[in-house]
Amino acid sequence: MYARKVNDQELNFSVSGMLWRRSLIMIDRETKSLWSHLLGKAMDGTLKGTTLETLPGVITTWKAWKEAQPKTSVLVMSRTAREFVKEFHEQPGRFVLGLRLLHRAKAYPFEALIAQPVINDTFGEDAVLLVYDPDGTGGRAFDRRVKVKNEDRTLQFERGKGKLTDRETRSVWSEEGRCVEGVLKGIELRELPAIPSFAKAWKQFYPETEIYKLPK
Amino acid sequence: MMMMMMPTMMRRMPFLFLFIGLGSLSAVFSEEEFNPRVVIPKPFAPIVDPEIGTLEEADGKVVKDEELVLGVVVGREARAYPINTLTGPRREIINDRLGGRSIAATW
Repeated sequence: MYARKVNDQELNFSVSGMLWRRSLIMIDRETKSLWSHLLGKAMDGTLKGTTLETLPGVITTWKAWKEAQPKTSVLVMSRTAREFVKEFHEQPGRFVLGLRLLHRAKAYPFEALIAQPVINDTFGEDAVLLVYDPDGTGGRAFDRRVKVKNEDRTLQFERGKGKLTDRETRSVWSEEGRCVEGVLKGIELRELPAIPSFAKAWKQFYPETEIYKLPK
Repeated sequence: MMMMMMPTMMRRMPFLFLFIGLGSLSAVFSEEEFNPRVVIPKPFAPIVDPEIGTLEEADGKVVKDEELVLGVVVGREARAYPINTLTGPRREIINDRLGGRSIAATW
């Protein structure tokens, strides 16, 4: 999910018909620059070197989404697949939830997320939280550092009895990263762009990627 | 064996110099060779101004409970893109507007 305004110009993207490292190359109608779909970066053309802002999108079930967002609108288009992407569940080994922060990349295999739906991880200087929704196939990433009364604190999360709580204050958090109950109520975690991706494509794009492993 | 490795090594050399010169990992990371492969000779037309419905209009018709959606919130507006309408090369990218911003829905 990208913002598509660059230097005050709105770009209209489509599929270029080219592939690079097993992944899609997009083209914009306005400048004909070629963009890596996975990197969100112009690889060729007048906008070469420009990176699009990634917006946090989440993949989840319609049921979970409409409950979380009762005012949601919906794209209305004809169906292209009867039942695509049960694959995440059926073949989790082929997919990762990819996280890229500055010059670092880390992949969280869906297998690991299914086994451990709440992951408190440290990634370089960043403290991150990965939350996997076992009812859907949604995985989200958050920064788990918060400011409480001007003090920086790093929280550890866990899920018990279906509720996401932090160990420090026992406050209750929504799946969207908002504290809904307890002393931290009202505080929101910063969501980080996490991209579901084929494991192979991710490794090809980010050969330096770290891969999360379950603790033994 | 050495002969076979030569082209690869030569291609990698400039990056190696950059790496040593700048001491920066980012140079290795971003300045990779761009050599796309043409699979379809002509780009598809972009999808613009897509039809948008309300939750009530879509519920059970466009998308069913157990189906997957790509959901996004921009500002105060939320939108769901049903994955079962986004598969296939013609539907990879939806040029849309939400919460006052221009967005490209893709996953």
